[in-house]
Amino acid sequence: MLETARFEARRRVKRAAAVGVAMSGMIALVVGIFPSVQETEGIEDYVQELPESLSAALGGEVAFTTIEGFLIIEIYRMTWMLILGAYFAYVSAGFVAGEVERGSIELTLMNPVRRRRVVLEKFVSAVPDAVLVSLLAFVAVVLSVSWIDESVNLGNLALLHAVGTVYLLACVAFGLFVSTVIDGEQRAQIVGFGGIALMYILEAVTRDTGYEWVSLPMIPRYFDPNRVLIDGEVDGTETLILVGITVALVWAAAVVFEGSDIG
Amino acid sequence: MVGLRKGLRRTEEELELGTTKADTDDAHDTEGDRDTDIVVDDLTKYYGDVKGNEDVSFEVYDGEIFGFLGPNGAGKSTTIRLLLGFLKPDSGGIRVLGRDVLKEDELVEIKRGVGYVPGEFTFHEGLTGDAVLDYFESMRGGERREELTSAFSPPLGREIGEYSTGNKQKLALVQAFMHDPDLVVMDEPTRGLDPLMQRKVYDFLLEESDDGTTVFFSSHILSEVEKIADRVGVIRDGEMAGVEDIDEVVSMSGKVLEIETAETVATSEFEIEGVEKVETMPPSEGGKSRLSMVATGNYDEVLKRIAEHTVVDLSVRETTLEDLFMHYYA
Repeated sequence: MLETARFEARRRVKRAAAVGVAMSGMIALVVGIFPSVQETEGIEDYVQELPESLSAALGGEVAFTTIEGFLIIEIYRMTWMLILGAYFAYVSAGFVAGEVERGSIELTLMNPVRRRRVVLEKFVSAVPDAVLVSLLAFVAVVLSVSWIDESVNLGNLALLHAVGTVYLLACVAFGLFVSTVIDGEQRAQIVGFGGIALMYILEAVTRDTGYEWVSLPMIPRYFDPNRVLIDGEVDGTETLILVGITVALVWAAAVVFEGSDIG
Repeated sequence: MVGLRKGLRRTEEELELGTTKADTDDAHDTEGDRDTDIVVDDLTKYYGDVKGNEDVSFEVYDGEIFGFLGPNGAGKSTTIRLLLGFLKPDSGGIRVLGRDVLKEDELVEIKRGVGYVPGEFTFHEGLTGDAVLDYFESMRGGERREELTSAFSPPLGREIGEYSTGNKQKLALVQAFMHDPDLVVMDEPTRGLDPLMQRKVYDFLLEESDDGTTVFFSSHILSEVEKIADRVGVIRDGEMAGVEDIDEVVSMSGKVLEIETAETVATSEFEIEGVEKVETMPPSEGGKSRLSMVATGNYDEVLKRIAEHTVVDLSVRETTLEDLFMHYYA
């Protein structure tokens, strides 16, 4: 059971750890400048006066000078949702397309295992990556926030990282689907990365406008770090939709892959 | 019969391969109710407008070595990919080890009993040979892993990205046979190997076949197929040109002789036993006539007849697949 998932996860564990460490380093750096941001006069007004779509992209209605608001804008939206999400989709977009392009998929599929199972296990193999990055980032936030003598609600933060992990896995599912429909590892990875970035931007610029429906099928719409970190509230429906999108994308990837020609 | 034929045909070097299944096993002459490991039925596969396979049909019997012979681009790899379920046919059926390849559930069961040596061994380059085998063993077992790794000794501790072609092929053979499959499918298994390693592979395949493993391998080299196959399927332009017993193929092949003489020579002079396809060609070395012929034996008599003339030019070479097509499948 899950031999392929274990095999794939082990192959990538070092890279996932490196991403987690890099992310932690960035968190420490960003949190480190928070005291000076707080002391900068007029920064709050500046943020409030930004065009609505830009401030939405940054994080919406949050106070930049509170540690929570600062974390949301600098870490959870810009870094987690946009960059980390796109990165996870980038990596998973190579899962199938890369193996097909290099030809290694043939030997993988010579094992007594259904194609859809290979797809499923490749998705499962990304779970440790997402959890590892999320955990390392959690520790980094806790340590760096206490280092500057600030504090955040640990329960809320843990909740945020839990839902944030689900968000990353949805991005993985998106990349995996791309991986089965786009030929060529590089092309698939560009579409995977660009797809998440585009969704993030479209969701941000249409939020609170008449065009909100545009973002209905988009992953970033269903993860709202603001409410989780500040109010400790997780919108159950949104999270369920996030899980639903993930399941649907993995299932679609499996169906596409079972029906496709290799080589 | 088969044994006698092979004994006659084999050169000294080939004899060093040791006893072959064909030497001791005459069962291959009696077809009919034999178990089949592969049944390919009217298989057609197009890539858009490009023909891969069209109406390809053949059967591979249990325990035989089946050579799948065709020039490059003839559709050999397409057939192999269809056989293993990598490609879906446009029409036609494929049964392997008694099960339907086109049904995903049955394909899983088929793979428990099948080994595969790809045309080019490609797997994650950063892994060591051992890590690759560990993974495959966890999926399908590896009761023969140790025996095979000590027989072929690929550098298991090194990353496969650093492997030479020969070492990759050793590892490919180990992974293909380590779960003791009933059938092994190989796509040009000796491509890129030096002659020594090629012989080792032939030797190994003959031994495995002796032990009851069915071997299906593709090749574009006639002499290679002659050395080890029991039967041969010939494919050209995506279509089967024929399926022959190796005796048939051997009787079609031999040495291609071309002689050019100072005087005019009639083709009838060489129409003797063991010589076929005597044809006149335009002289190119200043002689009066030039003949080409395929000699499958009776060499002494051929040489004596040649010696009766003033020979201006002479060439002797092994028959190639192209000769076979030109003379027999034209």
